[in-house]
Amino acid sequence: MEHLALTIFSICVQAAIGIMIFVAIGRLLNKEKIFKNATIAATVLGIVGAVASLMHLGKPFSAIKALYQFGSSWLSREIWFTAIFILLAILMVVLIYAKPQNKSAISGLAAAAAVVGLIDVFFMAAIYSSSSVPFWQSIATLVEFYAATLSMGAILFLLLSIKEIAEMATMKKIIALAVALAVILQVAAVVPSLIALGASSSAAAHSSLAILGNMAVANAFKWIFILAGALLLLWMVKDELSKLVTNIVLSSTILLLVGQIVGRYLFYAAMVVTGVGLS
Amino acid sequence: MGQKGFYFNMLECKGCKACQIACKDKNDLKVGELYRKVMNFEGGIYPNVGGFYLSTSCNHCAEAKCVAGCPTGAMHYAEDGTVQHNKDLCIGCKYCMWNCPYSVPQYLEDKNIIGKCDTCKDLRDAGENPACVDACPMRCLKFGDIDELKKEYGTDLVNEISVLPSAEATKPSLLIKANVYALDFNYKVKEV
Repeated sequence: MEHLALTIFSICVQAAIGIMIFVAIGRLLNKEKIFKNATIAATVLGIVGAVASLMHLGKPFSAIKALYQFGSSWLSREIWFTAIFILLAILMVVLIYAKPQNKSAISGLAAAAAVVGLIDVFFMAAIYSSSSVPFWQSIATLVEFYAATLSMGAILFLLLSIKEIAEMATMKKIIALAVALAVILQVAAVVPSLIALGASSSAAAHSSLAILGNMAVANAFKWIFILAGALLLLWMVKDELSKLVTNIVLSSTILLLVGQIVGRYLFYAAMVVTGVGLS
Repeated sequence: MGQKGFYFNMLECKGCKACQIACKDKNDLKVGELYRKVMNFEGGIYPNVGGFYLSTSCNHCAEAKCVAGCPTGAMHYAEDGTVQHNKDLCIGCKYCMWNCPYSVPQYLEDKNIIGKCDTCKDLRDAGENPACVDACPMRCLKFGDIDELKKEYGTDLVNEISVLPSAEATKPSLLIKANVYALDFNYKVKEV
């Protein structure tokens, strides 16, 4: 349950941030497009993630206290920025319904939410990379978090705005490039980090590797699903005249999402903290 | 006020666990919860075998990662430099459990918050020793000003041995009179 709560939280919030990044880019390219579905989805995902994060706490009704130490705690910073991101997203949805003619304000909010979200992902990664868990202490944590944000955001944005971006060739290119780049970086970062973990003298690092070894099937599924989802998308948008086929976009989205969710669960499941005799 | 911490004489420890039990009793800890733990490490190949006992608890680090990471401020430094935990501020996020390189903070399932050694602050405020110190029949454990403990128990004291994480990360307020096996970082030992 503990891993599940954190998996849901981080996946939902990162997907929400990713969607918002592409909403901001989309509005920058074409101010007439609203991307209502994508904006609502980002908001709902952010809220679902925030609620899931409470399930991880021993005292969820005291969660507000986690805002007290912004100056020193990465966790406190993350909670601040997640809250600000969700507030900006809610404001956007309210404006889209209440004052849709105020396009520049909506675009401004989208850009602000995207920037806040990007910083939030950095804080999320810092929580783990600064901990005493050798498995988390590599650059791979940061890369995996940004890769998940970009790939999930891009593909969900595409699925949710398929009609609005049908004629936006540049947007399609940006989405395909983002997914390709994210997945390539993710693979490039994870392989050396696992090699470094194996070469480490830390018993905690070796324990994490042993857990990953026991869950090798799940690990294989993670990569097969992520790569299959990305390749399917790239194959579909291989040239400018390519049409977006809803079923293929949906399949690609499911594959990529399942891959990232399985990967995130493994990220938490393989956590072993150093300790006396495990240094 | 100088930095306070524990001194542990490994050379005299017989592994009786009186300190562990006294701590568990004083803090009314449930099954599976320990604020002080006595561990037994052994290594080598017959006839060249060796080992040691280690009584370990919160090291009240001068640069504690649990304090830096705590989002609520529940983990904090007291005036005497010990790391204290405010139960009213704790929300049970368990981030300190990920941060402490010694895996000291424990999640108390019945209270839904974290718990750890507070150096028996109530006893100390009343002029007494922590429960673990007074329980030790070999007088292996002491608590006090780190500089004064160093003066009293010699210059060959360390705050890092082969089974402990690097002291560089958090500057533990811990003094150990260690045996040769604990000081040899190439000597492989296992907990038994």
